[in-house]
Amino acid sequence: MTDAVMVILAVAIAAWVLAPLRRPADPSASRRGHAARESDS
Amino acid sequence: MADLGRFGLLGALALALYAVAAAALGGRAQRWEIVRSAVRALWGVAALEALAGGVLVAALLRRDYSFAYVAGHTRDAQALLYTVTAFWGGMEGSLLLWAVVLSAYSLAALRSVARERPQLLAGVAAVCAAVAGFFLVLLTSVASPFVTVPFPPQDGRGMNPLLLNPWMAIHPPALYLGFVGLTVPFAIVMAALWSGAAEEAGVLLARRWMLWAWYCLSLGLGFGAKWSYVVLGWGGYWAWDPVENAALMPWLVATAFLHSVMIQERRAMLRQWTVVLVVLAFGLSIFGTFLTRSGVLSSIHSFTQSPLGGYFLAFLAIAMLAAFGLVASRWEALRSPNVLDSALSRESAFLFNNVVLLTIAFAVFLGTVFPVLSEALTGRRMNVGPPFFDHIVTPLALGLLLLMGIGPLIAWRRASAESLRTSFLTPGAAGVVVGLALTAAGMRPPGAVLAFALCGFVGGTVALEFARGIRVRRAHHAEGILPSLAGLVLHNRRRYGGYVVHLGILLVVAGVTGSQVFSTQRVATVRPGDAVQIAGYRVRFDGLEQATREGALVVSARLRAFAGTRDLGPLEARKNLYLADSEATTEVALRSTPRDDLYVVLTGWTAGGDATLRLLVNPLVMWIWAGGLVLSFGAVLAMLPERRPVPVLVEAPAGAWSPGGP
Amino acid sequence: MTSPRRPIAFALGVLVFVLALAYLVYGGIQQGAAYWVTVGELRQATGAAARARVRLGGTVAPGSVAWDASHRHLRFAVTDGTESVPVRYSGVVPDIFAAGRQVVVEGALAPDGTFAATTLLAKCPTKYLPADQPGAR
Repeated sequence: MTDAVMVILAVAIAAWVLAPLRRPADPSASRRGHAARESDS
Repeated sequence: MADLGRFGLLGALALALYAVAAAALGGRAQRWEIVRSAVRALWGVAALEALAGGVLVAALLRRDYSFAYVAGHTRDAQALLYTVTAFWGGMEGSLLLWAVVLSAYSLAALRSVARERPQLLAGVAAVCAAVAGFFLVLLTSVASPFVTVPFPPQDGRGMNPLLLNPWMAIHPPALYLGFVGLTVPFAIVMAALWSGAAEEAGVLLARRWMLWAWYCLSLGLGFGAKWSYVVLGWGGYWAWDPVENAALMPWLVATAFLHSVMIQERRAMLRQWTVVLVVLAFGLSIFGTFLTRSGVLSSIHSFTQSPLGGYFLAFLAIAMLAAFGLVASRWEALRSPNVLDSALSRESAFLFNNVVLLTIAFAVFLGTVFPVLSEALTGRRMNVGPPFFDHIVTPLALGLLLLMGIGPLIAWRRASAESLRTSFLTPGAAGVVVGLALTAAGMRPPGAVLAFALCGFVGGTVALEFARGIRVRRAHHAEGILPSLAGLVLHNRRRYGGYVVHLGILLVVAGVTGSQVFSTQRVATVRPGDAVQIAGYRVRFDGLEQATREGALVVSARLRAFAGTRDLGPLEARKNLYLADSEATTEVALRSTPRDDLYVVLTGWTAGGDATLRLLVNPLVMWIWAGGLVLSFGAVLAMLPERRPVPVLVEAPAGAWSPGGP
Repeated sequence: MTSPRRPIAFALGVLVFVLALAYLVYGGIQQGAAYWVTVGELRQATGAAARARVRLGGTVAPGSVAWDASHRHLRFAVTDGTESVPVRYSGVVPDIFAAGRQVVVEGALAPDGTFAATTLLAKCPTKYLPADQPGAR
């Protein structure tokens, strides 16, 4: 049980943390908006 | 369950290391998506640390004695409140608390940095993650709270009964909130220097965080003093113990920062100095933890036996080298265009204040590490006790008090003789009147008269500042004195909050002076019905009582206090003897009035029913606690956000990375 | 920091300040400093060294704790495992003081070979770490 929870958590967090790397921010979009939203999330 | 906790900490460590690398690389390469990923990693660190913390809390609540930490810090009979506070009752738990608080602070700091100085985001994330990483290394290696034992004991050992006290329950977290809070200004300033925004070094953004950390440290020091006074039964509240000093030193440096930053804001001076203060305050917060956790103070030899000390020292050395290296590389850019115009100016009064505060911090440091220093230099271990600290700190503190009265009165840049005369007349007179009145009333110790006179002077200064503000306001608005006062304070919260803090300090100084200089003490062995005279009080001993309560034998001396013929009511001085492990605690009979405290400790008794009592009369102690309250009120006032700042695009120097983009 | 207009006055100010501080520190050390010794070192000390004010660290010898009838004066022995020194003390006894605990006493050896202590500090047993017991006194 615990093992399964740990594996799922590890995978989910890693995927979420690495997600921004796979789709680089659109240079035309307001990066400031990203910054604000990121830190508010 | 312990596996889940260990997993949380290991995962958090991995994420923290990733965050350091990602934030540093992303910041350097100006790749926004990498920085976003680093920020997410910090969220992950916080979540996993919260998971680990949750596991520990759950284990404590279930009293799962298969956790070595739980078995060591609680037991079946321990009240629920203290089972929860056992979280920070020991080293491993308090390091975990440190890490959790740091993560929460980091997220809050990233939020405000993203809003106000987005170009510092990467640097702040990197520094916060690096510090978090250090604590996670400790938590996953030498100080794991999740060590399990194969054969759990039937019952835990529980916490020392001395620590089962409400003040002790809140004292450590308040101190940690302060200690850890010093990391954020450090991170902001390092980020600013690193990203090249050296001209103001993010110091103004760091100021709010420093004020918060200062406030928490003040509370922690106050709670600790209160605990020492009511629980330890020695009649004092401050013992110059290394653990107390460890919290006092960063508090002093933070105080110096909060003053010098005003000069930086107003006159763009002292920029190098404020940056150094931020680094120093952070270093002292780590050093304080090192001091109290490594055992270096009991002996250098015990220090080498505990691996923790080595980790701390290495981290401290690396952090300080890196930080001071960075500061040195930006030294010229930090140089101020302005110079000190005159020795008679507010700038110079503040500069003196900083020098004195730092000198006190240095003296405290010297006294605290004296055993280690002397052992390293001469091979023989030497200790300096409270007389050393009293001897050095007293004159410096009086000087500081004088500056506290002068600073607000003196003009910026250059004060004219005329303005000095008009400003100083009232407060100076207040001080002289207080001094003369006390001398006339028969007070003889010159130090005490001087201290109270200076208190009068500072009080006069604060009153004058308020009066001037109100006069100016009332010249423009038609309003009563009280609405005018409220309006004045609410529109200049930082300034008047600061003055309220000064009033609080004033009360603390008065209380400390009264209780240090005029305390009287008696030890007496009495038969039932006997009375003891002490400093205007008569304390009658009415006999002993014994009871058993919660595994402790409680011996109480029933007392009744009189002032002259007036009956002040019953008092009870107790001793609790915990039979299981030969621990004992004292419950002081305390009658507190604004004038003085009557403080009676039951130190011993005979089978025949005689009791030995230690009686103290400590004047003005209540004003120390009152001063603490006033100080908190002022600090809260100063911390309340003024109006919500309009986000302003900060002009980044050429070449500096800014996610806002051109 | 700030570059002053008159460097000589500034330097003089710094010098005066440093000298004053050095004087204060010197005075403080004169008043408050005491060497740490072990039981063995104290036993071997002779002459003036044996009369000096020191801090003695060790364990309270089991079975040695004796109070006088009024519970005001305390006698016990501090041991390092092999040798021991008798100690007399009257003052605030910390609640955590007990036989078998680590203690630090400050005072001097009296001519009768008893250590006359003016301060008694007791260390908590392993349970609680130093950071949380500032008053280990």
